Formats: sequence, structure tokens, C-alpha cells
Amino acid sequence: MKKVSLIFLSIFALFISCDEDDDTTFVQENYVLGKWYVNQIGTINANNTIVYEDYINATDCEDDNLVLNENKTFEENDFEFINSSCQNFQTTGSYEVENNKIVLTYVDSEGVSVEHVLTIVTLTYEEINLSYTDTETNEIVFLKLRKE
Amino acid sequence: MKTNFLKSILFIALAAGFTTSCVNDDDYAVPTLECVDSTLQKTKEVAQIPASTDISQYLADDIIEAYVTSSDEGGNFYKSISMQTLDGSKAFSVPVDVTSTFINFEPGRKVFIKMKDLYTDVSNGGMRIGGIYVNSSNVPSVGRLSESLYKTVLSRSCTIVPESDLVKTVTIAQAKNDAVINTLIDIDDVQFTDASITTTYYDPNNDTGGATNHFLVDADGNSVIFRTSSFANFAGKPVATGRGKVRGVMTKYNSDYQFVARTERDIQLTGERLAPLFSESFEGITSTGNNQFIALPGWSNVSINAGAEKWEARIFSLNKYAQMSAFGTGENNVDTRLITPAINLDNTTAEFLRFGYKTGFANGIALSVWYSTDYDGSGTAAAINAATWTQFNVNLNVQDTSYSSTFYSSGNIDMSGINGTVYVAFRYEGSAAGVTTTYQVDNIEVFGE
Repeated sequence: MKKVSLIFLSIFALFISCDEDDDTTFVQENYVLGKWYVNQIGTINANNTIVYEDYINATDCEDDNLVLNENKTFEENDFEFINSSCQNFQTTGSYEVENNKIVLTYVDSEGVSVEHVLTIVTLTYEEINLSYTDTETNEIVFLKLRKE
Repeated sequence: MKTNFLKSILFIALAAGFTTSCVNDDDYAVPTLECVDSTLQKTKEVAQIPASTDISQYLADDIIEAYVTSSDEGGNFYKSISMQTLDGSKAFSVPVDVTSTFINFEPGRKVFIKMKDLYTDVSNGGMRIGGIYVNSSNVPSVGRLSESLYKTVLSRSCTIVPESDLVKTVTIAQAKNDAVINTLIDIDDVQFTDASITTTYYDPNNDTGGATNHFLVDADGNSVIFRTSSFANFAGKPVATGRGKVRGVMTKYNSDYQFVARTERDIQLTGERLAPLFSESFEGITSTGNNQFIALPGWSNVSINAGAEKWEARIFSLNKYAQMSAFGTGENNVDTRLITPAINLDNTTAEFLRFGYKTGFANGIALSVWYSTDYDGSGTAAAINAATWTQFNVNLNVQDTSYSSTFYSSGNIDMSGINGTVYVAFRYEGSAAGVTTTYQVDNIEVFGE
């Protein structure tokens, strides 16, 4: 009995040493998971500096948020207070994390599949700073989000 | 017995399986000799990739190709790969969070870059392609590609061209141009300055941001920074004393162009050093300032019309030089000569004179340069007047009202037709009521072969 368990132990050790040899990836995916509330939005001013402004949520509604689920689906929840009730203009779709990018894929109101690329500028468990290019203005927009 | 036997088989089989999987997992495997070429095809030229001082993101699914010029083999480049097009018309750098990039991306290697979602900007005059980085002051710029992104975005082709296909031979003056940044260049007929050749490539007593800036000079007196990191593997070697060719990549920091050699092999200064027959930098003078008239051994400093004002020794930014102005002298016929000691031109040919000069408060030309082979060097107005003087044909037209930050070069003034012993005179002619331009003269040198 004793011998047997030793053998199993050594096999287990071998397994671990190989497992740790995995490619290093920039982003640990589990950090990205969760419900992210938009804190601030930044744009680049004439002095090439990002100016952040607090994100304004609709009063009396839940704060706008981005949910990245473990099953690779996402929800973007955008609330507005209309006719004395909160309405959620929601976008849902799937996402992939590729290196430092979060690629959101969804079908827009006209039935066209759209890809939206967010660059992860910094990431901690509680805070994520993202950037993306506004295709209408061609300017880079920065987002600071916090996990609930 | 039976159970034991089975277990050992199982163990061996499992162990063998693990060994194989470990080998497959290794990114640093021995490179196979047969290169498997990239399947990528370029869809855009580098010139078609927009980049400006403000960061922007490239959104289209395009691929560009370029050739590596830099190398971190010698430790002088760090976490940045410079690349250019085959013709050298466009160049850029890719900051990466990876070291020892020269193993896969060595000079001459053709590389494909997947541009989609990368960021571009122009920093210190050079185009960059990479990730995004926001500093603590919220200034966004192109940042290093993470290792995983570096592996995805940069695709190594099997094509490697010889450096001779990429390199351009340029003069120092041509090298100091934003269009040259990140390209591979040769600068020929250069040598390190006298101050540099007594030290090492990286000199701890001359550290600017972890590196040493030496200067390379050409025969015309043009100079360019030669920068060596403390991490370069030739950092501690003595600076080459000879003259010849250097190969490397041009970089820029603020307004300073900095030439960077990749390895010590790039420094091919094997020819004979060009040494002046005569040189004077005025640094040996102890007293400088108003009325501190230059009185170096063998020199003459004479006011021909018996005025009080003569050439003064002055200092600015730790540099000493000769200065003369008629301003405030009260003299209306200033003619002051600063004359070198005797310079023997018998043992050389193709001699030339060169010096640096600046003007301030300019209101007309007052400086001319003359030579005599029959002056007796006695330093009196009578002796100067008795000698035969010939004016050099030299263009000294600079008329700055505020002093330039650097000295203008006189250019090489031909002396090849002069034989024997020669004296060179710097003649200031002005008047307190007329031309009072201040002249500063430094680094007077005579070269010959």
C-alpha cells in the first residue's frame, strides 16, 4: 500500500511540472470575468493627455454595466429612466479574450454581426482600464470600470 | 507479483507520455534548420500606415513587411526592435516586453506584422508600432507588446537579406535626419573625439540615463552622439582610437540624434587617426572674463592701433574660448589680431585649417582670417605690420544677434599651398561707433596628411 501511494505521488508531481510549463498569457482570464460598472470615460485632449470624466448613470436605475460571463457570453446593460420606469437597452453576444484584447461579437439592430475590440490597458481583480477606437471620430476612448 | 508488474508498466507508460508532452510544450526548442515560411502576405506598405505624434489605433486587418535593423545581441538595444523597408524609405520601431529578440528577429530578417488593433505614434521623430501604455500623468503612448502579443503579431519569414542590402552610407550631416531614424546606416571616415578615446564605451563618470554619450567626428568637424548602454557587452572596453566606419541604427531623444552600434563588430575604426598638427581649445586658460586678455605661450594678441581692447578669454557652460568686440571700447579704429604660434607645414601635405565661431549682437562682419610665413612671432604691432599677410578665402557670414547654442564650423580652409612655418591671425576690425559684433572663436585646428 505504501509503495503504491508513493508511485501515484510521483506521477502527480510529474503532471504538475508539465502543467506549469503552459504558455504565459498576458491576461489571466478569471480576472476579466464579472460584472463591471463604468466609472469614468476618458478622451485625449490637445496636450496628448487623457482627461477622464465621471460616467453619468440614469438616476434611480441600476448603474450601467458590462457583464463578462464564464461561458463566453456578455451583456452590456444600459439603463434609461423612461416613463417613470427603468428600461434596459441591452446588448448581448459572445466575447473572446485574445492576449490583451477583449473582442465582443454581437448582432446589431439591423441583423449585422458586429465585432467590437477593447484593448486592456491595465487590469487588476477589481479594476479594468480599457481603450477602443471610436470608428466615427477615429479617436481613442478610455474606459475605467470597477467590479461590483 | 502480478500486481507489481502491471503497476510498473503503467508507470513507465505514463512517464513516457509526460516526457513527450513536456518537449512539445517548450518554446525554446532547438531551432529546426528547415524554416517553415510564414503564410502571410503583405497587404499594405509601411508608408500607408498612418502615424502622428498622437497615438492612434490601426483597425483594418492588414499586414506589412519590414526588415530588422537593430539587435539586442550586444545589450545596447533593449526591448525594442528597429525595422525598415528594403529600400530604407520607411522605418519604425516595435517596443516589446521581450529580451533576446535577436535569436528570432536578427538583422536582415524579413518580418510580417499583423497590424489589426495595434497602435502607432511618432515619438522623438521615429514611428512606433506596438501596444498602448498610459503613464502616471495619463499620457497615452505606444507601449511594449506583451510576450504573447509579440508572438502573435510579429511573424518571422524565412527570408533574410544581407545587411549590405539594407545599409545606406551617409555622412554625419545626412544621418541627423528624422527619416534616417531606425534605419541601418554606415558612417564612414569618422573617429571618436580626443576626450572619448581615453575612456571606455560606457563611462560611469559620464552617465546620462544609464548610458554614455560619446561623440563621433568627421574631417569637417561635424559630430554625432554615439550612445552606449551600461548593459552593452562592450561597455567596459576602451573606446576605439582609430578612424574608419561605424555601422548601426540612428535613434533620437528629444532633439539629440543618437547613433547606436549594435555590437562591437559594428565599430570598424581600424584606420589611422586624423590628428591635428596644431590645436587650441583655450581650456588651459585659468582666468576668464572681462579684460582677461589671452596670453598663451607663443601666441600674439595685439591691438594694432594701440587700443586697450584685445581678445579675451571667456567661459560659458564650462567651455572656454576667445572673444572680441568693439562694443564699449570708445575706440573708432579697432584692429586686433589674435595670432597662433608658428605652425610647421614642412612634413605634411593637404593641410587645412578649421575653427568654430559664434556671433552675438551682430551689426556687421568684423572677423577675417589671415596667414603669414614671414612674421617673427614677437607680438608687437611693428613686427605684425612688417610681415606679409594673406587673407584666407573663408565665408564667416553668420550674423546672430543672440548666440547660437553651438559653434558654427568655419569649414575646412585649404592650406595645402603654404609651406614652411606659418602663423594664423584672427583679425577683428570694428569701431565703437560702427561694427561692434561680438565674435567668439574656439577649437582652432590645423590638419595634414
